[in-house]
This record gives sequence, C-alpha cells and structure tokens, in this order.
Amino acid sequence: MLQGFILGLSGGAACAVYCAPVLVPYLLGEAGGVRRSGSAVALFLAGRLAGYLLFATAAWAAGAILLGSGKLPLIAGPAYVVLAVLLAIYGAGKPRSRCAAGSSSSIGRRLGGVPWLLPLVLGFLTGLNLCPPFLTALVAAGEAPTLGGSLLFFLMFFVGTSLYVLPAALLGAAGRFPKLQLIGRLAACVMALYYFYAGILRCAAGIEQVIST
Amino acid sequence: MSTNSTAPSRARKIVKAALISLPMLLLSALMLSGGTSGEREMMQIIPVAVTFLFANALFFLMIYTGKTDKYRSLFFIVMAFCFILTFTTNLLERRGSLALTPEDMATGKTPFCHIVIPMTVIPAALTQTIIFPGSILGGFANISSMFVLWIGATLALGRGFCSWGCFFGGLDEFFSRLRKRRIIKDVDPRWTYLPYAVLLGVVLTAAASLTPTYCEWLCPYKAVTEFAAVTSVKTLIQTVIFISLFIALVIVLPLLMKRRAQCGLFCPFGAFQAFLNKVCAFEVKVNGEVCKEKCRLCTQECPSFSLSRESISNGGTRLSCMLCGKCVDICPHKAAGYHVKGTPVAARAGAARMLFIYPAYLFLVTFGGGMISGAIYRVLLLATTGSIFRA
Amino acid sequence: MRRIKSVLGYAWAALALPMVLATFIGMDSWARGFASITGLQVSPWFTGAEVVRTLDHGEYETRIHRPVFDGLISERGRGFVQVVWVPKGDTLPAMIDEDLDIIGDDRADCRISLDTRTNQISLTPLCENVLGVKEKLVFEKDRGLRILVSNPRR
Repeated sequence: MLQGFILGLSGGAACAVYCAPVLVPYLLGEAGGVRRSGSAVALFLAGRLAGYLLFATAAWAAGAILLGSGKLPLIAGPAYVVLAVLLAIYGAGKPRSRCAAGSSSSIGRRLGGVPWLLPLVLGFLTGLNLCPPFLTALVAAGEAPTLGGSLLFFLMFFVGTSLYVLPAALLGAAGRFPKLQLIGRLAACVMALYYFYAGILRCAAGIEQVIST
Repeated sequence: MSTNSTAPSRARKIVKAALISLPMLLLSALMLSGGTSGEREMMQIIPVAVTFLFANALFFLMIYTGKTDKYRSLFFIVMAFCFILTFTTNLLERRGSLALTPEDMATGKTPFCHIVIPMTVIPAALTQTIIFPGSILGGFANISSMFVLWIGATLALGRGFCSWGCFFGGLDEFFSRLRKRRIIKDVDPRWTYLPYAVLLGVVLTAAASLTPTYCEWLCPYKAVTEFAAVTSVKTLIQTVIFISLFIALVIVLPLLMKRRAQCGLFCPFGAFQAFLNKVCAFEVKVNGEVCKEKCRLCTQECPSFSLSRESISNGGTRLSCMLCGKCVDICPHKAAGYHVKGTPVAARAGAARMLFIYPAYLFLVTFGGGMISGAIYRVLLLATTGSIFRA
Repeated sequence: MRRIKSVLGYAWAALALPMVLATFIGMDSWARGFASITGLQVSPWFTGAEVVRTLDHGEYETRIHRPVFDGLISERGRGFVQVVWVPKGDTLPAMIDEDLDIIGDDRADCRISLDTRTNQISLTPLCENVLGVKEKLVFEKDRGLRILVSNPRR
C-alpha cells in the first residue's frame, strides 16, 4: 500500500506533465473561479481513478500479460482518439456560462448540459494514458496476489500522483478573464489535433504488433 | 514667388533629413562591414556596398517623407526573400541537402530559429537542456547566439522584432501587399487569440514530449527552408502539413485579407513576444482627442489585427502590436504615433519616432544586411562562375 | 512622479540603440557568456548523450553512449542507447558482429551484425529491456545505431 503511495509521489510530477495538455486548456476554457475549477479537477481526478481501477483489475486478471505482449497501444490509441474528439467538441462549443444549448453539436449540447461529465470523461481517458509512472504501477499491480491488493495499490498510487495535479485548480482564477477562456478553448482544439494523431499512431503500432505476433 | 520659397524649403528638408540620417550611415557602415577594414575581394565588397546603399537610401526616405512602414516594409520583404536564398544555398553547401537527416540532428547541424524559443523555456529550466538538434556554440545559427539576439531585440524592440527583425515575416508581408483590394474584409476577432492557443499547446506538448512540437508539426516556413527527410509516413504527413500551412497562411490568406495572417493569426512566437512587449520602451498610441474613431482605417489596415475600436478607446493598440508603423503612416488625422512609455501621450511624437526607428532600423539593417548581401553574392557568383555555390 | 516616469521612459528608450549595438558587436562574447552562465546543453534525445564505454577492437572502436531515459521531471519508461562504430583508419571492416552490454549491467544485452557496406543491421535482443532498432546513423566514416530500450529502473 505504502509502495503505491510512494510510487505515486515519486512519479506524480511526470503524471502532472502528461495530464497538463488536456487539463490546462480545459480549466482555462471554463469560467467560474477557483472553487468551480477545484470541482472540475476533482471530477477529472475521479475519472482518472476510474481509469486506473479499470486497469488495476485488468492488470491483476492478466498478470501484466498485456504489458508484455505490446498490445497496450490498442487500448491507449482509441482512448486518445476519443479524447481528441471530446477536446475538439469542447473547444468548438460555446462557453458554458453563456448557454449550454448553444453548443454546435448534439454531443456538445449534452456535454454542456451535464457539466460534470466532461472533466470526468477526460480524466478517465487520460487515466488510460501510458505515462511511465502508470506503466510502472501497472507492472507492480499485476504482481499483487489478490484483486483487492491490486486495486489498493492503484488507489494509493492515484492519491500520490493527485497531489501534483491538485494545484491546477488555481487556474480557475483565470476564468475571470473571458479572453483566457477563449484561448483555453482554442487550445483544446489544438490539443485535439495532437491527441488525434497520437491516437492514430498508437492504434497503428498496436495493429502492427498484433499482426507480427 | 511660391516656387522660390518651395525650393529652399525642400533643400532645407533634404539637408535636415541627410543630417539626421548621417549617424545611420556611419553605424550601418560599421555593422555591415563587420568592423573590419582588412582587404576583401571585389565579389565580397560589391554585395555589402549595394546593401549599404539600399539600406541608407531607404532610411533617408523614411526621414525625409516621415513614412515609416512604407520603407521598412520594402527592406523587410527583400530581407525575407534574400534569407531564403542565402539560407538554402548555405545549407546545400554545408550539408548537401535541405532535407534534415537523423545524422544532421545527431551532430547538431540544425540551425536554431527564434520561433523555437518559447518551447525551450520549460525544459531548459527543469532539465538544463535545449530540446533542439542544434549546437550550443559554434556552427551556423547556434543556439546561444540566437538567444542573445532575441534577448537584445526583445529589450530594445519588444514585439517590434516581428516587423523589424523576423526573417520569415517579410514573406507574408509581401503577399499581403500584392493585391489592391481585400477580399476577406472582416475577421472574427476571436481568431486573433489563436496564436496564444497555439503557444499554449506547443509549450505544453513540447514540455511533455521534450521535442519542439511546433517545428515538428506546424511550422509553415519549413516548406521554404529545411525539413525532415521524407523517409516514413510520419515525415510525409509532416511535409504535407508544412506545405499546406505555408500555402494557406503565408500566401492565400495574406492575399485575401491584405494582412499578415501567419504572424497575426497563428505564430506562437509572436504571441510569446506580445507578452514581452511590456519590457520594451516603445508602443503605438492613438490620441483620443484627435482620433474621431470614424474612419476606422487603422483597424482595417493593421497587419497584425492589433487595433480595434476597443483598443482605440483605451488609447492604443492591443498587446500584439508589432510596431510596424502602418497605422502611424496612414492615419489621416495624425492621431496614431510612436510613443515612449511613461511620457505624456501627445508629447514629442517626432522624438519618440526617432528614438524608436534608429535602433529598430539598425537592427533590421544589421540582421538583414548579411542576408541581402549574401543573396547578392550568390547571384554574382552565379553570373560569374555559372554556379551559385562556392568552389 | 509623472516627471520621474517620463525621465525613466526616455532613458530606457535612449538605451535601445546602445542595446542593439552591444547585441551585435559583442555577439560572440555574449553567446559564450550565455552558454557558460546557463550551462545549457543540447538534449540527449538529439545528441545521443555522452559516451560511457569504449571498446577497442584494434581496427575500430565501439562507443557506447549513456542510455537516454531523460524526462522533464523524472525518467521515462522507454528510451534508447546510441552505439557508434568508429574506424581507426579510413574504413570500418566490412562486417561487424558484436555482443554488447548497452545498459551497463555487466552482461550482453543484444547481438548486433552490421554490414558496413550496405548499412544493413540485424539486432538480436538478449534481454527483455532491448526492444528493437530506433534509428540507423550513417556518417561519412562512422556508423551508428540507436537501440530502443525499456528502462530497467522502472
């Protein structure tokens, strides 16, 4: 248990670096101050935890076989593509403070209508991100003797890494400036392109791996 | 009677302009000659002499006519085209190809460009490394020299660098001036925030991936300078992106909008430099008492989308102003002018202009002069030896 | 106060010209100063990092570089090791076959066969950390290889 927490603490800064390209544009794009931003970060982290726990279960069940087979890109690739699509919809939509119904697409409207959903989904999808500390945790969790042990390991790993992500809530202070909000949303579109391409590359790598084995 | 009085006054004006231009003549001679008086071949003297005459003729006209942007722009555009010629021929001579190979990157043979600077800041602070395959010292366009140049330009000119120093900016400036009429008249002001979003995106992804993501994926100027050798699907996609962005942002949109689309709507370095405008002593102010906000000529013509009704009512430009001087030149009421920060708005507009254009133009001439004389040298070489490359 | 601001404004503005002159005239010494004060280096992801072991084979040397796992804050899970073969004379032997310890754990991690004329390389991993060929480097005389490796510390 302690090992998971320490691993989270030691690799958490790297986790924050990997989450920043998704989280920073999102938080800048949202209006509403530090408190609202804090809840968005909490939801994001909750989504990430869900992603972690899903992996913890899979890691325990497969005994980290997935990692060795090189098929992980087949999970991360589509996750990145979905993440890119969500970021693009978010970026292209209108700020929530105006009118959620004004979003340009039906998905956008739904996301705007359920304000807690988007950070949760973004968190979940970045939770499936293959950042180095996560991969380490995955191997360690795979070695846990029971499913409970594996889940607990990931839970503590999550607590350790979250300490580095929490300060992002301060970005909510920037939400008072509408122009920063606009920049955040445009940046979400830019990041969508990046993750879309990264996702396609990972999918291709995963398929190549499957074919070669 | 009137002709008698006009002639002496014109003569006086010419003498006055010549006297004001004299220090530039001396300073540019010093800078273009590189401070050396050693013997040189005619093939090296002619390009420098032509550049010197061209630069000083333009500066004289700038002083004589009182128009800043008109003559700056001419030098700026010539510099950009000469840069392409000098840069590509230099690379072909040194490396044998414009395509960047893994071997060139491993040995630090990639010239460093100022646009990379914003992406290097976070990794440099945390890892003490520069995420660019160049060389720290020595070689062509090394990292330290470009940083020094950027620091000097920023302290002296702020985002003025984008109009008085950037060797790429002249390309979209050229295309933005080709057509007489603009086809796209209004641009949604929200697009003017895209450069900040691109900046945020490339800074974050560069920090996460430790690669200069803008250079790898988004730089339109790769299409006319150097690019990764096309050896895989990835490099093929990159090349297609570079060429598409170049056509769209540097040629088509400037032609349609008559504005610098790449610089005003996309460039992350420009956005970064906009924040640094705060450290420079100069700005453009619009005197609200003189400006009636009726003609809106400046808001329509500003190449960097830096003037709006809102900014004018606040007395000046937006953060993104490149200090090009176009609004100063075209304002029919003389309401726009260069201004020294901290001084009263209407005070000594002429002195403020002189205080700005001297360092700015000297920077342009020194930085761009080498590119122009280099290009002339290549043309002379081609004419005399039949080859653009040195033997 | 207004007067002080005005004087300071003009003083800063007047300094712009000397700043430009100093930038260009002192470029080389400023650049050297910048490099030594900041201590900046080019990222090992591009340079391949520093050489940590050199194996002398008589007519050529095998230079093994430090494994590159450098991340922004902590080490990455995957990286590469650069290996360069340098001839002592003009050319490398036509074929090079070597078992190499590239991670520094005192046992061979991979077997490499390099045809220096066709630049064909065959890599056989001898441990789970060696993942494959990342990049071939063909210099004028030297030949190099970047080997994709997973971080044994992670």
